[in-house]
Amino acid sequence: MSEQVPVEEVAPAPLPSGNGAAILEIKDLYTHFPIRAGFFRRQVGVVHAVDGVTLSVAARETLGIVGESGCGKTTLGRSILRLIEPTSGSVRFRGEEVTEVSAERMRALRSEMQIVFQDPYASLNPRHPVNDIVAEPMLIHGQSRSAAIARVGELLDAVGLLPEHGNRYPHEFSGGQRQRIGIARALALEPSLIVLDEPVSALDVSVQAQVINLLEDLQDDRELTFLFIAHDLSVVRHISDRIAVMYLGQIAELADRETLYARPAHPYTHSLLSAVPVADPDLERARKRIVLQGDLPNPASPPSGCSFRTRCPIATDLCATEEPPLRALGPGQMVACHYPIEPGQSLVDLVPKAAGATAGALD
Amino acid sequence: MAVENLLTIDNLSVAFSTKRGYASAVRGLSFDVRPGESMAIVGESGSGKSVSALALLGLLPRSAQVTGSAIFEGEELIGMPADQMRSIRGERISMIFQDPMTAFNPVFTIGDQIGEIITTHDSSVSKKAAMGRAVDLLQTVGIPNADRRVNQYPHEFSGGMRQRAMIAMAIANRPTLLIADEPTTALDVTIQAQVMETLAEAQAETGAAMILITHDLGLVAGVADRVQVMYGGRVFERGVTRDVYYKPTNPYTRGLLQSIPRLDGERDHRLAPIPGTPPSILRMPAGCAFQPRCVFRTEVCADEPAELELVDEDHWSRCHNTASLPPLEVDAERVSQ
Repeated sequence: MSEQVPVEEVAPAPLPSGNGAAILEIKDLYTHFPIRAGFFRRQVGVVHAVDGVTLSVAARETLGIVGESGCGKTTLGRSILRLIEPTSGSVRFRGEEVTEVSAERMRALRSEMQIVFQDPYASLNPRHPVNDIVAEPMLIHGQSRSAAIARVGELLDAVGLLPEHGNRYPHEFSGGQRQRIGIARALALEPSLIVLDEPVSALDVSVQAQVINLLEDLQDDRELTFLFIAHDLSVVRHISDRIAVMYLGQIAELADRETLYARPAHPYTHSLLSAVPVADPDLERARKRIVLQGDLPNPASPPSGCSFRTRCPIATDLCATEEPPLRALGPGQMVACHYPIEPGQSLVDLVPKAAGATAGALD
Repeated sequence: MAVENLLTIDNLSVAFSTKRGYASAVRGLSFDVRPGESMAIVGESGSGKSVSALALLGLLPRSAQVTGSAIFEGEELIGMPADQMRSIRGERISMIFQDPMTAFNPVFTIGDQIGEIITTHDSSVSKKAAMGRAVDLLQTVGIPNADRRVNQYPHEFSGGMRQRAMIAMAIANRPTLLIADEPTTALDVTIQAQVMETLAEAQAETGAAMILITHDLGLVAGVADRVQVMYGGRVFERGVTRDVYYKPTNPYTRGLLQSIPRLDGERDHRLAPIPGTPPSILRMPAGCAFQPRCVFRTEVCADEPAELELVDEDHWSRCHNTASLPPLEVDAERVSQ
């Protein structure tokens, strides 16, 4: 691996390019969950769900956050809205420090920052008709009942539902329609930022595309900023302007969509991309796949150094001792790796060499 | 046909009487599986893909009304007495389920459970020998430290490991047919890649045929020799995998392939969704099940169900308007290969 020398830091971490100024700035965000055990519920450990995340989201862009289960993507989304209290770090929304505001101010802020959940079955109250579900946030925020009801029809129409169906109950709708109801509710207070947490994962393929198109249209019409959290790389690539790849609570790579898919630099991004099956038989069968060994480490005891090193095919001793910082690799690309993969290179080509090197080192 | 079929299904139907009415889940399904081949069944929720597999193995609740025929290695599976079915399940046909946690008994070790499968089907094998076989099998499916792992309980395995252990259990008696029902849907994409690789190796090692049931068109593209697309309890298209992907004939298949975002797709390409939602099995539309969502619908579609017809060599489609469908924009270079 002689040609693979650690890259010098080329420039201080740039602010993300986007369509506008940063609307959301997250700095060194940590969300840890205590593990308690025994009679006195003493704390015996800590789960590093979000472990030092720094990123910013530009107004009107879609930032995709991808990663496998347990990587902390959902916790990150909820920590930003303080649905889960972050342990430390800073979240600034339009310059205002979200983590320090009073409960009352937080409620007001939530009208600007909304969330859509994955499971449209679980996130809608089955005993309330759709009109009430969509009107609820407006009533909570002090709008009159008549004004709220008047707006519900408009919102249902905007998400492609018939306003006259507003007196029906959630169980009378299909999964895709229920997700539209969830989106209508999130739009009710005219937020500028919406956290979308796996919004299409529970939907059938033919319906998934409808909801994705709807989200894209709403974003254009209403100048929305999206934080789109998902595990499906094809969906994320389709909808995002920039993408953050998370692994074990940290960002492994952050790049604009084109760069991430054309020149992924992190070995984890490479393996993720190579693991996604493509619906094209010739292409799919011709691909060289990097099958990662092992499972995700326990986030209660993350590995020393780089958290990916236990599964990384090109890890060296350095990776076990020193944690690679997230640093700029080039315009629009940041990576947390001691040995970022160069454009045009494939992890597949590096692996046998690396394996040989490891074997040599052991002899 | 030169090769004798391993499994021949003829006019299989499954219906349930429910409180909310009569639900017809599978309607007149006919297909065959050839020895050693991988046949994929693709469909969305409610298409009947899983129910048909469960019906084959007699795993549906008593309330299910199963009619039709399924001849496996010369024997009729539909209506087979339970004790006879038990000697086929796990021996000549094995099933791999989506959720391995429910397939394993939590109070027995993985080794006990694989060992039991072996000794049940061959009582001459000693318990010790069966345990030795279990270790070999776990090694085959790539579980590290198999000799130690064999004594662990299912909860001590991660999701991906459990799914591999289930594959080990499925191939323990060298079946001739594996039925994998959404085997990787509960798994992360990197773990999915591991499990699919293991499954392919297990199939190569035993020479078993496989029915892969999934909603994931990407998975199918990688492993299936033939594919059939189900919708509303019926097969809408069937053919060699390349033909179905590069020359999809049925409007539903076309819609499905166009609605998925692709990793290698064009930038800023707008998805082409299929309008509407899949039908409920309690309220099937009249005529063709897909007609309410179909952009090529004509009058006849709402009146009569279409038949599955041969459109090309080994390529079938169920549509009234096959002859008048506009040609598909395809990558000519790929099709001519």
